[in-house]
Amino acid sequence: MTPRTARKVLLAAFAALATCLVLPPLTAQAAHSNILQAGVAQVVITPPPGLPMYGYADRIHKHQVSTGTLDPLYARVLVLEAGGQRAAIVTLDLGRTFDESWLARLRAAAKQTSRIDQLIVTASHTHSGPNILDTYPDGHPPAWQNTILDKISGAIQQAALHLEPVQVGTGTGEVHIGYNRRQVHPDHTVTMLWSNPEKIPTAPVDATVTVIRMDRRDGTPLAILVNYACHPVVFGADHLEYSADYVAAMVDTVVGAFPTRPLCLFLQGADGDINPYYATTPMNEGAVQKRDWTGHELGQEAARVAKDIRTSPSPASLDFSEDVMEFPLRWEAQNFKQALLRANGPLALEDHADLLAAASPPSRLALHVTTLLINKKIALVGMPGEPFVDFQINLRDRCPVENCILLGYTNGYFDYFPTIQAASEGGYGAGDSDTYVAVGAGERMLDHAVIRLYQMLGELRPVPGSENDAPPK
Amino acid sequence: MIRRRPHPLLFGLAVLLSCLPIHAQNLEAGVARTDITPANGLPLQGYPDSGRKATGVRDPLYARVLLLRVGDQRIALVDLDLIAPLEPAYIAKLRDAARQDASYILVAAIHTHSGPALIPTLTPAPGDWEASTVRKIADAIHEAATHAVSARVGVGYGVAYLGHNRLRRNRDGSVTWFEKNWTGVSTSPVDPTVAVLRIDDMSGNPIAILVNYACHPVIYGPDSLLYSADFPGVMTQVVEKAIGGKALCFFLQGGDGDINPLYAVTPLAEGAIRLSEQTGTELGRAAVKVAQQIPTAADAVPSLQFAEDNLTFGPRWDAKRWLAADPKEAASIVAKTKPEYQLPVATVLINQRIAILGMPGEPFVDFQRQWRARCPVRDCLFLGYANGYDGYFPTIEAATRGGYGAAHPSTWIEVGAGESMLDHGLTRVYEMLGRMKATPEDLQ
Repeated sequence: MTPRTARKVLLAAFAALATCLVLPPLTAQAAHSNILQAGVAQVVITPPPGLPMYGYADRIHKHQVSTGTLDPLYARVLVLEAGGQRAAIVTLDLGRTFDESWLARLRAAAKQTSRIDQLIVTASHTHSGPNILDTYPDGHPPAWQNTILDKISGAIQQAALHLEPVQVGTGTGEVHIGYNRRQVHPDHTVTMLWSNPEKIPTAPVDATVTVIRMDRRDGTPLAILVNYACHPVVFGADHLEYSADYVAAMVDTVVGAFPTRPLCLFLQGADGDINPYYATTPMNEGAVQKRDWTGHELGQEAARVAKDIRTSPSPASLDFSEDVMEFPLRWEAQNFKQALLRANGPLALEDHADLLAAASPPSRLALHVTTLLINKKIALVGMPGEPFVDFQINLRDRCPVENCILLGYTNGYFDYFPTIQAASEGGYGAGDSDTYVAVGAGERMLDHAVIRLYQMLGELRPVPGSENDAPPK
Repeated sequence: MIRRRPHPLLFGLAVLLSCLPIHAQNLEAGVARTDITPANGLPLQGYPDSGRKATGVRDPLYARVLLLRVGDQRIALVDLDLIAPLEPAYIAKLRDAARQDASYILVAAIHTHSGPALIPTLTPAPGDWEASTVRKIADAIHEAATHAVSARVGVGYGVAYLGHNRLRRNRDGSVTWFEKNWTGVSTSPVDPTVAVLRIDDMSGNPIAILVNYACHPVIYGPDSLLYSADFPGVMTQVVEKAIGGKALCFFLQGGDGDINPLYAVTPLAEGAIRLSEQTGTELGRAAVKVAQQIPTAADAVPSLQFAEDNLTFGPRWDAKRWLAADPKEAASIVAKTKPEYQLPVATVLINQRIAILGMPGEPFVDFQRQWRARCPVRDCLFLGYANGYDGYFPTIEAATRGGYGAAHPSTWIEVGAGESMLDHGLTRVYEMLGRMKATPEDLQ
């Protein structure tokens, strides 16, 4: 079984990775005030049954559609304000975010109704949601996408209307619910380990749970953000009901641990090569129970960490940027298109209409890289796809502030971002047709975000520092 | 099914010269050396005093050539006792002049500060001398090709503690310029690794000893007005004498952007000559010790692969803001600022087991360490000052700490360029090894 996900390819033209172009930031603001304000909201976005589902090719090839709802899908919103500038984080219980025109419409609506300057839309990557494409085979996005946009826009408005002063704290814990699904052998070949109920040790894996807690003035938590890297794929292709997968159980556990029931937002990490131990468990083999176990394990650790966090007043600030970086297609475009059509026939359009619809396939891609720095202490870096877990570990190693969180599936979707080494080893997401952005794109985006953070901290000046010595040269 | 293409990742401005291994029965190697010491009177380069002019020769400046050949694939490594490689136009002339003997020429400099001014962004270059030097080097390449014989190669490693990190970190995260370090204060990062590539004929007689080490050749300071290769010149003499025969020793400068010798910028009156000889001798002895223990072997399927790609980068500084903030300092340099720069990144793979990455400037030593850590083959050499010169390449983190070469006008390429070049070279090596598939594995 090979998960296949929808994809987006924007522009066409060959160019070296070296020519990756950083376009001017969509936004680049720094704002400071003494008090950070936050507001939250959530809204059910479960679409009607009868839609194709996301994540597994089997269901699409068999023309199976959703039959109902196991647990509702939510959009959760956190609006932050400091110094008159506002940022909104929107987490979606969906497989991915929507196409750029959808995101642009939401940006515009959020700006108009709620003065949102920076919008971060990030998905949990559940494989039990509706299928989402950038370009649909019939050329028209389904109506439910517009309905969801309106609902989310309304939730942003609600959150912005209820801003209140908060103080922030962070903490980390460890939980072992996932493993690396690529087994790399000494001869550099890779075997995919699609589930691992025996919990065989694998590497690399990042067991870190990072928690951000935002408290009201009375000390009760308003919002708890949980960052972890693991594919929400406990439910497999035989499951035809909408669900947030283990994320639903995690959120219930965290919310239930606090009498005031804060809003819990799940921030999916760099899970490109990380599966839950009980991945794709058949329904008749206890998938719901395994889903609950996975979510509870993560939720209990997140709640433990959250309860230990002592939030404190801090000089408030929001810095953010969203840069468009251009990369070439990894594969020779025309050959890639023809090979996809040969391999999958017309069904390829169900997954790759964006690439295949045009006579001349696009070969140059515009990726949005998002950086948000809260109070000069907490950094969120968003990549538009599925980065491998090494990037998350690497970002934390190089992070210039107390906490750096890497978000996958953020402000766009371009499938997998393997590391250069992983790309050379191959395997699903590393050397197959589900990774199509040039090798090295993940490294470039990470470096770019690190540079942005240093700039936001004032540690990379636009002109040479006068204090620098001028010895030999 | 898709037919595999040899170069699916050849796009845009990237110039892939060769990524395919060429197999033949033998690897052949030849060496040659030519004296390129200019006439007296040329400006010397490396220290702020632009009025320095050469008054004589302390030791000759050489161009050394290693010609490697496997079938029709011929690579010439040209190692110059200069502060930087020749200007791009002269490198192009050299490649044209030697095209019958070399499919690819990698031109690297040792970065001596006791040589003629070459860095074009800083001073006018001595065109006549460069033109004559090109002819000499082309002749040397021809000589090396003419005398190339079947060869076998091996690599070994040692350590030598001759340098220190000259950007000394303070508790507050800033750095202080730490030029000389006579008492051997511990600094970091430093890479004491001495990597030695030994090339023998089939009887085991050395043809070439290549020594890769990262340290600025700046023991002679601005008071020295004689041409000299500084301590690398001494090192090559020590190695050639110890090895004997006709073997040539090459000094391959590494990622020395932040590494000075302990006895940097020693006045002549305080023993600069003795300390240059001491440093070169110590490095030479370390290299000899390694070289003598390297078992060379002829590979069953020898191969040579190379690529030179132009990577595009923006400028480091905001020219308008710089002019506004510091008109006097900025004026001369801002005028030379380009909207973008094309930097050649060289990657060579010998026998699918020895990789060489060349960057056109002064990479910080962390890049050399990263290259060795991430390189997919056992032996990985790292060259600064290769095929061009575009100032310093600090790591992103070093750029934030500041200091000379990190946040000073001496670095003018955008932050992150070094990381990009390293990743690019790494990707190239994987491609040369055949470990980066040309088509998706599920569609083959």
